[in-house]
Amino acid sequence: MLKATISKHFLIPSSCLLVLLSCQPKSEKESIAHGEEVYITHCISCHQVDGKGVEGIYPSLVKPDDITMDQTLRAITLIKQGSGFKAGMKPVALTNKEIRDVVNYIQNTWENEGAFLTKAELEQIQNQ
Amino acid sequence: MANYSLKVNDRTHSVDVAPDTPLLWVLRDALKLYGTKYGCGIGQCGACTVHIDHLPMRSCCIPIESLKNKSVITIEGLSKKADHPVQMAWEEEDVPQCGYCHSGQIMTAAALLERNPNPTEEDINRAMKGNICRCGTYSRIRNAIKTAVKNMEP
Repeated sequence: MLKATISKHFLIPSSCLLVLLSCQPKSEKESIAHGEEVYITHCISCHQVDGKGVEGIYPSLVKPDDITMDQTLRAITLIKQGSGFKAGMKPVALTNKEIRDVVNYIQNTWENEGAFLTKAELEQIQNQ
Repeated sequence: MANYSLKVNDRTHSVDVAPDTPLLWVLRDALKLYGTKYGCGIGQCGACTVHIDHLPMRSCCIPIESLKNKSVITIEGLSKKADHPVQMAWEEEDVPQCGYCHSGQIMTAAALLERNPNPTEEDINRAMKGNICRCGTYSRIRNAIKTAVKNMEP
């Protein structure tokens, strides 16, 4: 009885821990995979398959250093509001989930390395 | 002006245009391939979608100078006898109303099914979101993509 109780109490937290450990990378992978599709639909024509854009016309999204929060904020602003220039980038009508996914894809593809943008962080940014 | 060699629908063409000429105008004005349509000119509507190395791209915003060693497929080159599963499904479901946006719609749908032969409703919506239809044929477009999926099943 005692043995069964110990096993039961041990197994439940262990399984919860396993679920927690495996959930986060899966959600990140899913977000990046969905982000790739958003990128193909809305961004690839200008910023190209390799993210490097077209010199002198479309800016590169590939950054040599780790991506900073300021750059993430700039990307979100550009997607939502466009560049503001007449011949520049126009706002892209994306849902919050699509914005999060495509930012996560861009920030974690090619040579880019950036922090994973969560739903809470995006909401916090948008409320500022 | 400069001379560019461009592979379109498996044929190599030589065109003499300015380096920043959008692919759309090379296709329509230089190569007389009128199936690819001009819609907004700023990559927002999807009417000018073609495949570049198998990916759907807006030809109105791609300068010819960026297409070195790339292969372009337009609606004219999607299939030899207009019998691509997506084209057949479009006919089966009687999708177009005015039809202006549909070469772009078909090219985007065909590229989706090449990447993902069994898309979910969410996958379809996500992929097709960049193609606007003023006639509002969206439900028929979705149905046709599902029909094409069935037609493509072995």
